[in-house]
Amino acid sequence: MSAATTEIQVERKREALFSKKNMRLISDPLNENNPITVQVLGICSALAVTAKVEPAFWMALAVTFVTAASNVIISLMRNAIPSNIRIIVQLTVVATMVILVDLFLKAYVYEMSKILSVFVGLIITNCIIMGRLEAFAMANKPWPSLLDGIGNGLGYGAILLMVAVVREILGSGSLLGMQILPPSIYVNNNLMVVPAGALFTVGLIIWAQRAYNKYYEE
Amino acid sequence: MALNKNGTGYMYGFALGITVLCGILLASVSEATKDARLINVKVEKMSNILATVNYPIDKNSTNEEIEKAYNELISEVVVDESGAIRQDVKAFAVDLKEENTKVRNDASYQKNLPVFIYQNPETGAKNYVVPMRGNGLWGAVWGYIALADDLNTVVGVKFDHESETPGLGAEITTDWFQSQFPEKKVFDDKGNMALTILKGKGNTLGQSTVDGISGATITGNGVNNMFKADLKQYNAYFNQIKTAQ
Repeated sequence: MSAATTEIQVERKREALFSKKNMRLISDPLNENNPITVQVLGICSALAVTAKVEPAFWMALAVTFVTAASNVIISLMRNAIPSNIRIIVQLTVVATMVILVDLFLKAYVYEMSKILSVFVGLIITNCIIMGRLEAFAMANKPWPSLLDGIGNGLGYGAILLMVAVVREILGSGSLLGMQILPPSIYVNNNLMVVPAGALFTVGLIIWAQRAYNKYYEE
Repeated sequence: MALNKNGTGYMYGFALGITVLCGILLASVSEATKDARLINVKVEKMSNILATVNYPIDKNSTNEEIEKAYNELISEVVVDESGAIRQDVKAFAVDLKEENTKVRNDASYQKNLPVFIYQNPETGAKNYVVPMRGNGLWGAVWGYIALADDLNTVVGVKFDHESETPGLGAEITTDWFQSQFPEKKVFDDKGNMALTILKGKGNTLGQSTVDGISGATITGNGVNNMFKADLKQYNAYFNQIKTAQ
């Protein structure tokens, strides 16, 4: 009995902050475990806000902040949260973070908050966030949880930006609001402006990524 | 005594604690950003009004510049349906959403109709900017229309919407759509309301008709109804000005 207790009490060697294992938490969601293209979560907003690059950028930033912050907060509280109300506690934290982002955008980036409109509020229902809280933050320390949150936010954001670049060029002939394809040589493809355009683009990205990674569904 | 984390008391306590904490946090952040948010809303309204009279505003215009231009160039007045000027109401503060829910049969029924008057500093000519609010397909649509001093020729329009479909109904906010309105006539020769958005593109256009948005007929009809319902209320006031001229 006493031997077992001492064994547990022996302090494990502290892991370095930027150890290989920790960095995987950021790099994994960017490619092999991407929340959008591999786990196929958070598609709703990926379709809705990617018609132009600038709103997609702000959306990616907002989601990264919310995943990272709520991951850290839930991880800090993970041992105190009563397990039968944990989902509603997670939801409360996520909702609080989302409202913070919404207030911030309304106060300092008003133009964007108008374009993103309801989709800022809808970050609450983004499956990536609750998914990371349940799967990671409830079982890990704050630092890895922060990295995991940032990683997943960036993984989401990377796909959002890729889709938005394709859609803005093909749908509006511009990039970041600047005309790059003159209307005289390129007729804007309206399909790319509507959500269906995003669905095709995401599909193509998934195809390209899986072909590259040699990933096959069993 | 060890804390029972699945006990009812602990659960209630935890739920209460987290709610209070989040509540306090949000309330204080909301309070701290309140001024900045209110200024954004105010300046947006000012720049919308200035845009209808072709005052140059671009992305780089600062809030202060817009506010200064507005205060210098625009004067405000509130009238009622009989055209009488209401001294006790400030035009900028009138909420059309509230005005539109007023019921005509109520004893206290009195509409507040704001008018924003722009006086061209060089020519002295006046433009009358009138706010409007109606319903599109999914939610409210609203906007401003500026009329020249004949109170018939459109100087400019500015529309916005709550939740119209991007690429379809939401196109009412775009330049190509709004730039069709200047020089159009609101009324026909007999004085009837005539300004109309037609269905789809490629129509034969008259002096009071503009092309619509393909696939957004309901939003277009909503804007048409908004013209009809809201501009009509100003008839008495407009007639007064015309007689005085």
